[in-house]
Amino acid sequence: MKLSTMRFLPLSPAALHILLALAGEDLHGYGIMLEVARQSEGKYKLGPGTLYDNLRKLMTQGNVEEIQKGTSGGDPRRRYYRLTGLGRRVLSAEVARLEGVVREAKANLLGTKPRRA
Amino acid sequence: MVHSMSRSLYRWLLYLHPPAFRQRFAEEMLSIFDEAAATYGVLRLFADGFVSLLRQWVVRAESRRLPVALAVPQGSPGPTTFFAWEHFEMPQYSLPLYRWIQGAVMTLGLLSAVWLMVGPGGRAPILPSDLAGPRGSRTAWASPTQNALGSADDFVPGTPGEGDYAMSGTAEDIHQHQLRQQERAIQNAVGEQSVPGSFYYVVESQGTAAETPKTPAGEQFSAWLSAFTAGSARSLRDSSRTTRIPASRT
Repeated sequence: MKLSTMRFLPLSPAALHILLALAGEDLHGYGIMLEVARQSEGKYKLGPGTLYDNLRKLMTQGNVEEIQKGTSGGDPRRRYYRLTGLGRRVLSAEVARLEGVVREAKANLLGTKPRRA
Repeated sequence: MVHSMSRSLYRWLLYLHPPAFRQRFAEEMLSIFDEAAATYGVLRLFADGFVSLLRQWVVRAESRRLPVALAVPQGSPGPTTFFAWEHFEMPQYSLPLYRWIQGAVMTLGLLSAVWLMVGPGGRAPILPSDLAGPRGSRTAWASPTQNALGSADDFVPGTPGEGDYAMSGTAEDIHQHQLRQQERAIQNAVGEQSVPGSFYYVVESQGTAAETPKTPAGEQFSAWLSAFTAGSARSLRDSSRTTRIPASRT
């Protein structure tokens, strides 16, 4: 199972943020853009071109899937997307990888790790 | 006004994307443009659109390919939709070697068959059946009934019988038969006389002396024929010099 997720790593920043946005709830494209902006406190904003290029790739990989959801009162052009089980495992693996990166970075930056001779 | 113009430009930008990407995401991207133009800024969305355009054409090769099953929606009417240029997809694999050989052999066979049918020089070829095969292998039409050698009695001018157009024979037989028919027609017209130069005249002249009508024209022709058969240029010149051209009746 771990091997099946490792082949998708490391994720690009856009893919990581999209998976993070979809981890909470099913969203349409513009909802993903807003959620990414909220999670990054406005420091990372996805454009539609970048969003759908990554969504396409994630759907091809099986990490995200489109769902049929009623758009009562909303824009009928909207389509909703959901994180799959594989996508959730990939996100977990990526977060674990990033934890290791952060740990290593802190150790290097704070000088707690002995340098090699 | 400005928004509608920028929206039209953005729609045009989306239209320039590869077909597969455009058909799948263009409407959603346009809806996002409608919602996010005020907050994200039009210039930012356009910049993102241009980057996306370059990315899809240059980097994403899969965006340029569109499976036919996805390209043609079910129940789409007419062949126009199906045969739009953007719905074609070239296979990514090359043909195996045996397929190339098979195609080459089939092409050679087809060309050989066409060559045999047309023949060199664009004329119908003489098949072996015409030379040694049984006569009657090729059906002829519009030709009077007659045996292979022909008969002087089988010509009925102007009123061909019911069975006159059912003869079988080779092309050479038909040609000879037509010549004999013409000969017989002329003979009937001139009174059972052989016509110089015709088939019967040549056949008869091999056994007996040529008979020409005792007329001025016949005598002139006999003189010319004698000079011609002598094979001498001088005698031919003498013959033409002594030939009398009849005066005009005017």
